[in-house]
Amino acid sequence: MKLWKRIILFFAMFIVVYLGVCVVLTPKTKADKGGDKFFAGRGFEAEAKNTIEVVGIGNSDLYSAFNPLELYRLYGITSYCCGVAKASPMLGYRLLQDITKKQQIKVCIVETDFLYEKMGMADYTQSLIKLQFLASPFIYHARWKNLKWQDFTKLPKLDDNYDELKGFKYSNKRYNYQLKNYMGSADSKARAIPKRSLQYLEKIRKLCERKGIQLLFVEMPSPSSWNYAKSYGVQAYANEHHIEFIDYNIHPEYLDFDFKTDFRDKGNHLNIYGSIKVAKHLGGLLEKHQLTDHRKTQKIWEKEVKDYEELLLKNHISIA
Amino acid sequence: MKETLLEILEELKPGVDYENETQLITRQILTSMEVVRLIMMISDEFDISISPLYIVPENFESVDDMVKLIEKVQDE
Amino acid sequence: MKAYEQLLWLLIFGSIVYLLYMVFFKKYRYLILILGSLILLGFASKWMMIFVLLSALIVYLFARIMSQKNETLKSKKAEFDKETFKQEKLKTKKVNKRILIVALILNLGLLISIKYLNFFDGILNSIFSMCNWDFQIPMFKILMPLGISYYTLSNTGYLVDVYRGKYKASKNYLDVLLFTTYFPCLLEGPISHYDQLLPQLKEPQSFRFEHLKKGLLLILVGLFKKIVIADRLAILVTQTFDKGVTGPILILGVIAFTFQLYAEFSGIIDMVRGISKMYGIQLERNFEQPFFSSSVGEFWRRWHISLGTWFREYVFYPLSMSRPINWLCKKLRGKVSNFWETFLPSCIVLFVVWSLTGLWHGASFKYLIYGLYYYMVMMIENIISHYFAHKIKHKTVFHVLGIIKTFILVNIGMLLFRCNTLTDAGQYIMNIFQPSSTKLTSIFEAKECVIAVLAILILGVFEWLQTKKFDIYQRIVNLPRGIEYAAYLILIFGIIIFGAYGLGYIPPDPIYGGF
Repeated sequence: MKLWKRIILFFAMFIVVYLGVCVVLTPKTKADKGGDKFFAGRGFEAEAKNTIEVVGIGNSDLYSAFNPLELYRLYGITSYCCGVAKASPMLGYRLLQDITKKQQIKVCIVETDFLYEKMGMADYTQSLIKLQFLASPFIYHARWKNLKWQDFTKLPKLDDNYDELKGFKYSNKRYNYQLKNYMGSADSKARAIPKRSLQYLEKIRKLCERKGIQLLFVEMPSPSSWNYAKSYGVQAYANEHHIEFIDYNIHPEYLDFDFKTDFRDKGNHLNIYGSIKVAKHLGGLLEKHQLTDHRKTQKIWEKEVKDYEELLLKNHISIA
Repeated sequence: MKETLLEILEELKPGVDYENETQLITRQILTSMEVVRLIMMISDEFDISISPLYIVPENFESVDDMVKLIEKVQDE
Repeated sequence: MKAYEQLLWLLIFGSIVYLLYMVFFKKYRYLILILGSLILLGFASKWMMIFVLLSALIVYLFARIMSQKNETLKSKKAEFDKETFKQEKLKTKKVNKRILIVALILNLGLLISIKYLNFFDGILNSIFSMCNWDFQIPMFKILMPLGISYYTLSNTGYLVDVYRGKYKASKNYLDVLLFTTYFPCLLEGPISHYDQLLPQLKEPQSFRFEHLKKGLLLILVGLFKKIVIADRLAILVTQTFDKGVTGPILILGVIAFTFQLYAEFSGIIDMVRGISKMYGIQLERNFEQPFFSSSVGEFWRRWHISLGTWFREYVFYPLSMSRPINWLCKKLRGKVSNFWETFLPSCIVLFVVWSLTGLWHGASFKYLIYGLYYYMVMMIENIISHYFAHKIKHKTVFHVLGIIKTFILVNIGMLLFRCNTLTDAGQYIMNIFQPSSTKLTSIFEAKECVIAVLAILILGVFEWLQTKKFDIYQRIVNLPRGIEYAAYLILIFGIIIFGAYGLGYIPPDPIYGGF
């Protein structure tokens, strides 16, 4: 056989096997090892079309604090939390792009913590889901230890993973955080948003402009990673583009925030108690955007809310 | 010369068929230590000085190789 | 993640160099190799690059001076009579010896001071404190230039060869630079001979598909050893050596380390030989299935072969022919048995050889003892085999027992090698007899265990076949195309899927790389 024919044969065999391995190794559900990395922030794919009006993008600070079901329970607002641990603005942008394909989003909440994180190669693969699928033999190869029968019979589908809590991560752990001055000096110079992040923030802003989505910048209480310099940096951008920016680190009183009870870890992530307070305040802010009160019109998410309330009751969390 | 060499080898390490063996080094019949002693004995016997350059396996695999080596050094 | 980014860049860089090399003007192709190496070094550190350039320059200059004198001598051979010529020869030799010594001091001196400065400092400091002097030399933090231990030895070999007149020194600085910086050898060797390597490097190699294919296969085999075996065993090894576990499981830890070191070192050498093969360059073998040795002496002839060969050629033989040893031999003549007449002088020389070998591996007292441990074992082996040779005939039973004995002795050596200090090694041995602090599966998942054992078995069978001179590659190539390619795919996907990298695995640093 001629040389080039041999090479083509080899590569053909290689591609067939490679794609097969991709299919088998890609996580099928969020529960699979690496599943939360693959399906990160994409629970919205399993949602019915045109049911969601608010979306939140950000990192783990977001999914610990932004509680769509609580928001729905109090105000009837349908929202989705697309927070992903260590997310980059690039990922946030892609998720926003994808969710707006099947949803008529009216407001996009940007949790600004991720604007100041360094971006690396991992972020490129993370944000492009097709790339993740094609790179799965390398990223998810450790799944060989946990393969189930369905890995060989099912194709990985994004819309297979329905998340009852809509992207929110529930935790009732309480960490008694000792409040100290973590914000630095109120006279700090504004720290400009890093170039790469700015690039994607601009893309987010322009996308929202095109689709008529209102932007809302929020910074959840985050003693482990926030300070005045960063806040001023974001404020500068927000002022320039007339975007509302609420920094709960500067105004924790808006939430009636209690540093001793509302964190689940060392001042990094909120717990259920904190998230309830955030939902209460955020909902009030969102009211002016004339969002539908779905409790009155379509009765969707009824089961989810019921299960959620039961979860709260079971853990002796008082419901307003 | 060959006889003298065979005598030397017998004295160095008896019990080996030096006449027919052609892989003294490859088969590790002679160790590096023994090669060193062999060189000294040859140097003494034939009054020559063997440069380290010649301490390569090829020169010591068989008696014939060693004869060739000695002749070469004597020529210089 | 950073390590994998670097790996990706290295891959891209390597491919570009390969492509450029194959399309570049034939006469100047070797320049691409030099450039590639210098860029690599430059990226690691500007100083490393400058250092190598200077080092090669010194070697080049001194070699040329010595060679010039040798050539002048040769040309005068016809002119002089035998006596005068002999005088001239001695004169030239004397001058060249001085030049060689200066070159060696500069060349080796650099290596020694960088690597062993803190070692000597430490010794001096302990002496000072013993004498109750307050003076203490401060310890220096010097970054080791990549591969310095390897190319310094290669270059020393070159200088000595030129001195001995084995070949003429190169008239082109670029030749010496090429030899010194040849990038595949920068990380872990092998230590090469100038007359064997340079002609291949300088010769413009054409693209041959067979070379590319064989080279890539070798690289894959090396990757398999490193990523599937070595990095996986590292999980168990770091637990037993660095986390203070106790119990008989520590024995498993040592064995795991022995295999980890072998898989990693021979794997990287395979990759180096594979890369070279892609260019049609043949490097010297560094391993010959060492664990099938029936004695520790044999083991060191089959492990890190290029190092052993270097020490034999440039330390053992010269020292054995030196005047003090000669004097000793003459003194022993007739006074002791044949065996001892051969053995004693070598014993003394080997003491030096193994002390140096040990210290080459690391700049601390522990490494000295490491070398001397093997020295002691091998000397005892020699004595025993001499007195009991008639009892041990070449029976398979004894051969197998020999392999097991060697394996145990080597593992003890590996224990010394892996522990940070001798005290740690002692503590480790004591801990074996303590009650078990943990189960194997708690620190090394059962499924990982299975893969590790399977992979080692596959490697073992592979090596055993090689000892029987079974050409595995040829057999596979002779299979029907579809099956041959399936075999390659199994290897490739075996590495990708079962490699111990990424999520859930820790990337360890290469062991023989910090030299």
